[in-house]
Amino acid sequence: MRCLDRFFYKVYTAAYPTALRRKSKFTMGSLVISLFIVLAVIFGLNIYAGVVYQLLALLCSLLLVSFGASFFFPVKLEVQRYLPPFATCGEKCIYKVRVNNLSSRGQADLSYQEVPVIKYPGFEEFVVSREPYEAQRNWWDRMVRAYRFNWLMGQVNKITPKEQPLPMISGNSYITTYVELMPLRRGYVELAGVAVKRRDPFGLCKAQLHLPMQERLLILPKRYELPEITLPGSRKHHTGGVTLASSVGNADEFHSLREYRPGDPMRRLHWKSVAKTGELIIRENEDEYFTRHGLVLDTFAVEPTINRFEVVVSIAASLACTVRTQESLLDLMFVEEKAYLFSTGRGIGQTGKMLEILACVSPCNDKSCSALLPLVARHAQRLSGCVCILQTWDDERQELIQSLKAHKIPMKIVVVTEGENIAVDPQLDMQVIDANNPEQGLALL
Amino acid sequence: MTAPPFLLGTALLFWGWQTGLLILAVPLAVGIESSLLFPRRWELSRADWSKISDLCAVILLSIVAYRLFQEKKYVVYMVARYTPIIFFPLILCQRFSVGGRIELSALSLLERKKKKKQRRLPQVDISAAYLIATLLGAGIHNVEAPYYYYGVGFLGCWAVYAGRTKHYSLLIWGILTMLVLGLGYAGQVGIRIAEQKTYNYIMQRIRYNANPLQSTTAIGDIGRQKLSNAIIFRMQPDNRTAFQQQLLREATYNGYRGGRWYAFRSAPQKLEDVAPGSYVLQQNVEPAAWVHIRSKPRKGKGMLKLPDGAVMVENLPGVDVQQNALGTVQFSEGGASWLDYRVSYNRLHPRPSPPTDLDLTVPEAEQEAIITFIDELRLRKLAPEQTMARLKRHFDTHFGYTLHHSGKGQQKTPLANFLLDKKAGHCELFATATVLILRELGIPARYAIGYVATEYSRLERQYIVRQRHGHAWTRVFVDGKWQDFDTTSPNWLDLEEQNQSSLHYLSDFFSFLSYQFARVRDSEDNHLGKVAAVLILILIVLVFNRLRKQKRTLRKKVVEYQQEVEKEQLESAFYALEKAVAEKGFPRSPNEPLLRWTTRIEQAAPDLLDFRILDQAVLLHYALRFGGIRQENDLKQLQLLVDQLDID
Repeated sequence: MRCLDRFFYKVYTAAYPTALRRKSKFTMGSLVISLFIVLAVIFGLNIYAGVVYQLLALLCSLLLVSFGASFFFPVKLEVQRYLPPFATCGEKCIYKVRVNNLSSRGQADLSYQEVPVIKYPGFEEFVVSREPYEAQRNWWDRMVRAYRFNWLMGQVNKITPKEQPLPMISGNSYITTYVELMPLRRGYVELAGVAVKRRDPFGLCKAQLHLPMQERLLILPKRYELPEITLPGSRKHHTGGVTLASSVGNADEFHSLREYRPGDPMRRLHWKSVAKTGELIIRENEDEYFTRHGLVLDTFAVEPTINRFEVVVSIAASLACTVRTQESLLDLMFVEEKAYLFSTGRGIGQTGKMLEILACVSPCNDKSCSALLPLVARHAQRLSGCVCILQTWDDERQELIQSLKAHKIPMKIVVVTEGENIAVDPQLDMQVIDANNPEQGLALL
Repeated sequence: MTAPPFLLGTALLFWGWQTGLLILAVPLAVGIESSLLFPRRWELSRADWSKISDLCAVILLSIVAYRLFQEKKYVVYMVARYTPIIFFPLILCQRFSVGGRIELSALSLLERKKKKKQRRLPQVDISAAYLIATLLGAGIHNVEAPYYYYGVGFLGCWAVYAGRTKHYSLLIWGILTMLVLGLGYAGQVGIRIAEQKTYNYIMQRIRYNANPLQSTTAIGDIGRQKLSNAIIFRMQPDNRTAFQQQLLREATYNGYRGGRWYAFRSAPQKLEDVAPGSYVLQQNVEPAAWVHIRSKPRKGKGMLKLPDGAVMVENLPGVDVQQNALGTVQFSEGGASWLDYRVSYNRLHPRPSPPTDLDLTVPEAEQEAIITFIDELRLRKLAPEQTMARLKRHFDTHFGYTLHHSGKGQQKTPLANFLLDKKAGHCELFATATVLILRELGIPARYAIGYVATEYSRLERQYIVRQRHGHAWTRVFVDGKWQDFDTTSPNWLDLEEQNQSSLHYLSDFFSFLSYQFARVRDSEDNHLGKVAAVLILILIVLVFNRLRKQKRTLRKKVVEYQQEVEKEQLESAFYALEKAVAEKGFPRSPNEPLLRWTTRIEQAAPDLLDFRILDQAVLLHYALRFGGIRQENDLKQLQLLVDQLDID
């Protein structure tokens, strides 16, 4: 089977550039004509049984002339695109382009298409990944895995650019228009250039002008709509008005008295003590207390990878955006090459920064879940509560949860599955989410 | 491409004109173009498209069934000819649909299944495909069509003009269109010439459909000569026990030139039928036996496979039967898809055909080798019978049979190489060499090709003759009559048999099924046409019934569902609870989920009621309302929970 997989993988990777060229060169009309050429060959080669061969000759010549005419494209253009700083996976990214016609002749019927740098999924990725709803495909599709490869190409390249019509451009002038991209996956999209195309006079083949323009666009993770979440360990019904405090500073709780140090505000002088001692004594208040939540992200590879991991990251991003960071701090903990901790909220960092980090998180293939334990243990004391987003519910992950439980940290556990049955521990606040339909599970959070 | 007004209608009229189905084409064209007159459009659902697609499938199946049982030949061609009718419901509905496009799911069952889970379905405009399919249908089985190319060119130009890229000027478009039309014209002439040449070439090479005037041999060819295992015809003698290995001759030739045999001075003469389908091949000869021969003619023409001494042919549906001086009978059949003719014969009375000087001619190029061979065997001065016996013995003992020819050899000609050096070859070499040797010795001889019937099929209870049973032998004039004289090494059939595929039983079985089907169809007491009509009717009724039933079931389900909802609303205690809570100042907004509503109340008035019980009631209400396995006492339990809450 692996041998067959390798064969299909090699065929698909070898055929993909040709398929791209075909798509880029021929329109749907020319494909219909090609199909009828095949039919005309079947029905027409016997010239004694009809005159279909005449139609065959006409269709062939039409396609041939159309193909030849598509190489004639004397157009001089200059394109400038204005990409936004980032886009979001699954949401249309609309941006401005400026197309400058350098020739004196007006240009009509042009179309615009982004040309990404083509990347291929690795063989292992091809083998272990599962296209959404792949199980519902027929056995042939599941065996040859062509649909999976196409889906993976979209995921790896992050966009599937489409042709978009451009308005007419007069001679020696420019137009500014808006084009759109649909990001399919988070991470950096590398754009190699832009293709400006026009169909031949018969509308069957396309002539194109490739303009190299390398740029990168960061795609933030997809975010799901979450219900209003009460995170474990929230500081509710306490005095202090932390939520209303505009900045980090002193709270009103009395802590101790000490001697004056230069720089202390005079209004903090404790006059009674000054009167008693004759020294300048300063009243010291208790440090501001912040609710601090942990967001433990399970990056450790579980087969099949892409879909499940993307859902895990998306849930983390959704949580990062939903949690009110003006009330608390959110510590994101995960392991890639090493263990990382990023904090946001209360002026420490913006949610946008965390999304950027999440956009670039990749699965950790060389470490086990135990690599996260020291980091979690080190910060456990500071956490009021913790949300763990896990890819499965195996022994290692259960051990991680037990270690957090040992610190008596309230937890919310989200386990993303792909159809496998998981024994839910009734003592834990645990939610199992299907990677193919995460919204349904997230609504119950 | 969206078809411009009147294009499809005109194409349909053109199709009707070319196929002679104008009566059908006119209403179709009017139907399609009526969308221009009637501005009303319908919104068609996915289910509607599926039904329309099913209707097309019914039309297709009906036409296939009708053609299969009626027309006998070119079924696929004939069905393809009716493509505009088959897909008419689809294009008509596309024209009258709101979007003007067809959901892809309608065209493929797989797509229908696949797209069930996905919301967005690709939609296509089938106008262009329908147009080309119409033009294709107009050209199928349409030989006398002087205006076909012009019509197709005109309609094609019309279509591409509508879909042209507007940036280019009309002049450029016009020049390119002229180029397309010119190239297309040259191309179709080229295809015709190439096809004719290829056809002639293939006809010369294919043995089983031999040319009565000449026969190209594989003498001199290098490589493996292999014929297929396909069954060419079947033969049933009147008395199998009396029937031994029999040569069935297709053609006889009298002149040899450079690897080819020709039938010189043998202009064919038309035979008149003595009764419908009966032709006398020899006058005043009493038949001694007969054989039934069943075969499929190629291209409507063929040569009869005849045993030696053929007297009469019966049940031959030929419209033009000709026989040449050498006894070869050629015929052009009148539309039969299967030949089943009876040949009566008398082996003691071969057809008289006096030998001529041509039957004694040896080509100069071969003379030297022939003479050397004759001298080696000391054949001169022997009586003809003795010569034949010695020759046969010598070939049997010193020569071998092979289908593989390697290299050109030392001698001048391939035949000389065969006789003097290699001493191995296939039947054509044996037969040609024997003819020329006998001629050199003054015995008139001719070259004959045909088949050997040796394989008796127990399944079919008749002899089956395969392409690899094709054979060549010598006709020699001894004792005042022509006789068959076969000098090919006797083990040739065994060697040929070794080459057959191990799966030939399977192909033989399918061939048998096809033969049996054709027999039933061609039989005079054939009622299959009526059976087909009844089957089609049943099929149509079944499909429509299924569609109607689906609709009825759907309607029934909707009614049942509504009744159920109403019943639940009456019965479920939750509605009363909701009403009571609303009266307390917490009404639920129309789109607010129940759980969110309860959470809102809990936050606003935590002491209003026991929210744990309320949540349980909500979950139970959900289970009752939206499915799942329902227990009998669920409603009672819900009532109990509501009572516990005691909102009033």
